[in-house]
Formats: sequence, structure tokens, C-alpha cells
Amino acid sequence: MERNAKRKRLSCTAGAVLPLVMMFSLAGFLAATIYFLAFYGMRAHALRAAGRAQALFNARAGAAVGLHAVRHLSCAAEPAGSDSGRVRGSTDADRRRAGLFDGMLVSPYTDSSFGLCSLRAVPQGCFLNLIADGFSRLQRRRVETYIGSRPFSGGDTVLIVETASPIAAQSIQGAVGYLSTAHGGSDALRRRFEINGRLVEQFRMTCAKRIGEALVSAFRDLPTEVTSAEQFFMLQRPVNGDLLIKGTYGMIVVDRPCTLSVMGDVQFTGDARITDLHITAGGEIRVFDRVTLTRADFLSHGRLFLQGRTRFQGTAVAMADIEILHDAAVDSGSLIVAMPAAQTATAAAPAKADERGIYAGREATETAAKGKERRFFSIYIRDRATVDGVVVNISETTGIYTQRGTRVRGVLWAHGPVAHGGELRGVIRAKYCARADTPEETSKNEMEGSIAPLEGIETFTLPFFAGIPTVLSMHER
Amino acid sequence: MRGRHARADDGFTVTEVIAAYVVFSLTVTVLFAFLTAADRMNGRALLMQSAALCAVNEAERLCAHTAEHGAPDGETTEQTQGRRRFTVERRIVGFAGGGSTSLPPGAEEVELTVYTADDGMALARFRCIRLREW
Repeated sequence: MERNAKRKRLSCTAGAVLPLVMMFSLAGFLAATIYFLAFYGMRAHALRAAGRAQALFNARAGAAVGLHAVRHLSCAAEPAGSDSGRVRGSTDADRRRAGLFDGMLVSPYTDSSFGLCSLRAVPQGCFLNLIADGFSRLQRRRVETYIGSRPFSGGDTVLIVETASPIAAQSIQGAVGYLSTAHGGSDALRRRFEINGRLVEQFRMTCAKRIGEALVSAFRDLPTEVTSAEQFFMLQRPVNGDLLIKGTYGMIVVDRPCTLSVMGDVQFTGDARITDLHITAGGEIRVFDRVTLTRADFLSHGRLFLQGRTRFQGTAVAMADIEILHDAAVDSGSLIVAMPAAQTATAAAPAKADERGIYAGREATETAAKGKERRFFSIYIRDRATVDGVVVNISETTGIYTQRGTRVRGVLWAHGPVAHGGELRGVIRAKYCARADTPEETSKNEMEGSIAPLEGIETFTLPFFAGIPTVLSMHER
Repeated sequence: MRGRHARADDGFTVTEVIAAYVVFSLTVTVLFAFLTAADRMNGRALLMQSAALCAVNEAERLCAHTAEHGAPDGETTEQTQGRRRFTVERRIVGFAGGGSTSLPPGAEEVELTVYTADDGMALARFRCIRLREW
């Protein structure tokens, strides 16, 4: 029996060729598919290389188109700082260029088969991030261009004024430039020293949006106190009320990025060393005592005070006055911008100086706010304060005041008067120069302080709406 | 193919062998086709990658040269990628105000065509812009 079964197994040669062939065929087919797909996977990026290169060219071309649109966006808005925000004389081209802020599609070439580019301009702080997405053959590449402006570095020019009166000053080392045509001011020079009203409006809108996000509640909580770094990161956000950061009982050290939206005022006191702090405040920002702020980004709906032995490095924008006083120091590469609201520019009463003959800042702000007097300044640098950076006042009716004893290295840019009494190495741009005690003297150009040229002034950065927008940095992705 | 009471030691039928042969032939054909396609794709991918690199290099060169010395001389350049040589032909096809209205003033629309240097086969065409300054 067993022998019979064995014989049967040995002689079993039943036809199995088709299933075997099918099986091997399937295996071979699978192997070939895997081989093909593996090659495709390995070489897919190479096959897409042409599309990616063209998409990059499109993005670059789009960035150039966008930069041109920003540069040539008509600045026919109401004079910067007059705050009406009304734009007149808009043309079709202007409207098309203004579409940049909402996003627009451009065909950079005569033949659209090479792809398109999507453009969008997003104000980021005082700079503009121009995002150009190039598309070609299902590929996308992005070029991000940071746009700002560079100070004028024409020879040894240290002072640029709009009014034609000769300068009455004793310590100006360098040339004085006049923007008026009568004194040889060319259109090209004027363009370098004007503020684009439309871009300012975009900037204002961005600031207003940021502040609107901070003012989310109708109910104001009690002031929130922060006395340690741990409490800093445990803050409920947004802060519905005032925020007091008190380093009175021990130094507060924060070295991690932190973004805060505060509905009310923000006040720093005591000892603190804070890095990468971004604050949007619905009220004022006050920094006192021995607070050191590095890479800070402040936006205040009210005033900004830097005083005591404060050290500030970063960007600060205030929708009202800015005062830098006592021994406060604004460190390298900082950008301070005042964007004051509408003012009583035609009030008849003269400016009021205090007993030391200095036009008062805070007091004047308060009295002017009541509509009693005309204000001439919105940025005050006083006492022994030092500034290393760019200070911009975009109002046409108020300017910048620097007291004797202050030191500035960089740029003072105002469309109103500049009363400079300190030492400055760099450039001043002003409507006219005035003495601190007679700022209403628009027909004279008088200066008490000193100015000297600064080598490497072109490395400072101005906001994108001042002067000629230029590429500060570019990233390709 | 086989009867209901087929014995276990029956041989293959002609039909079965033919069917197996057909399936085998088809499989081998498809296999070769796949392998050839994969090989061709590999070669093509490498060529396209090189062509794209050549175009990007040429665009960079154009940009740098224009910024420093104005438009570069000549309309073709030779480039080597690995063991292959390529020719990049440059041709101005448009300028600001000449149809492509969105171009900034002073910009030129340039077409770059990449050829293999050996047999002059056109690999890819690209468009970019040349700016005198940003």
C-alpha cells in the first residue's frame, strides 16, 4: 500500500506549466514594475528639474515686477502724516499695482506657456515681505523678498532740508542738500527723501489690524503683574488690561521668543533682560530702570517711553509720541518710528518752552491733546540718551527734537521740523531746522547741535515707505 | 483540456504549451520594455537635470555680469556637467513696454535654450528676465 502511494507520487507529472509560467510571469512583472517605480522615484526630482528651474525664473521675474510696482506705486496720497489717508489721482496702473497687497497674478513673459507668478506683499513690521510664487509644469518655487529702504549716502551730505533758507549752524561737517528746486533739488533727490503715502496707509492698516487683535475684549481686567520669567510664559493671552513687568524683586531673564498682545499699557520696571519680545499694546509702552531689551518688536497704540538706564535694540512703532530720555540707549540697528495721529497744526498759540528753554515733550503732548497749542515734535531724545539707529517721524506737522547732551549715530528722518541740539554722526532729513525754543520759525534753518558724516551709513535700514524701496534680503525656496 | 477522469501522469497538451509560451513571451516583452523605458527615463532625467542646471547657471551668470559690466558678449555659452557638454543659447525675446507690459523698465525677457554639444539636440527651453539692477 505504502509502496503504491510512493510510486504514484513519483510518477505524478500532471500538467502545471501554465500556472507556473503565470506565477513566474507575475513575479517578473512585479519585479519590473518595482524596478521602474524605483527608478522613477529616484529620478523624479531630476525629471522635475526643468519645471522647477522655470518656476524659479518665474518667481524671480515676479519679484522684480513686484518691486517695480512697490517703487512706482503713486504716492499721490495726502501728504504723509496729514492722516486723512485719502488717495487722489489714482490711475489704472496705480490700482493694478495696489492690488499687490491683496495678491495678484502676473504673467512675466510674452508667452504665458512658460508659467505664471502669484505676487503678494505683506507688511511685516517696518518692512515689506514680497512673496512671489512661480508656477511652471506643476512645479512651484517661492522667492521671498524683504523690502525696506537705505539711507542716502551721496558723498558727505549730512543734512537734507526742504526749505530754501541757508543753514545757520556752526558745527556741520559735510554738505547740506536742499530738496527745493530753487536750490538745485532734483526729482531724483526728492524721491529719495519722500514718504509714499500709499505705502504708509498699508503700514497703518497692518498696525491697526495688529492692535485690533490686541483689543479683543470690551472688559478690562485688573493689571497683570509679572515678576519672574516663569510667569512670563504663563501669561494668559491676550492680556485684557495693563501688563506690569516688574524686575524689582529679582532680575527677570527671558531668552526665548515671546509674543504678547496687551489691551492696555505695558510697563517694565526694575532689572530685566529680555530677548525676542514682540508686544502689541493697545495703550502706552513704558520702559524704566535697568531693563535691557534685545531684538524687540514693539507696536504701541499710544506713546512709547524709554527712560532710566534702559537699553533697547529692535523695532518700535508708536502711534503717538516717542520719548527717549535719561540714560536710555537705543542700540545698534534699531528702528524707531512715530506715526502720530491728526494734529492741531494750525493753532495760533506759539510753542511753549519750559523754564530751561526746552520744548517740553510729555507736557506738550498732553496740552496739545487738549487742543490748546500747536505741537512741533513727536519724538523727543533728551538728557543723556544715546541712539544708534534710525529714527523716523512720518508726520508732516511734527518733527524730532534732540536735546544738548544726547548722542545719535544714524539717521533722523522727519517731515516736520528737527530741533537738533545734540551730537549726531549720520544724516538728518527735515522740513526745516529750528531751535528748540522757537520751533515755529519756519523761515529759518537754525541748528544748535553738531552733525558729522558717518561711514557706512548705507548699512542702516529705513522703513519700506521712506525713500526708494529696495531689496534688503532675498530667500529662494 | 483534460478529461474528467484524467490520470495523474498525463502530459501537457499543445494548447497549454502554446498558452504558456504566449504568456511568457508577453511577459518578457513587457519586462524588456519596462527596463528600456526605465533606462531611457534615467538618461533623460539626468539630461534634463543637467539642462536645468545649465539654464540656472546661465541665468546667474547673466544676472551677475549685467550688474557689473552690462549685457554679456556672445549669445551662446558652453557648459560641462559631469562628462557631458552642453550649449546654452541666449536670445532676447521681449523687453519692458514691448508686449510684456508687466516687466520693469530696463528689463529684458530672455529665452535660454539648452542643447547637447555633441549632437545639437535641443533639451529644454526656459524664459527668464534680465535686470540691469534690482
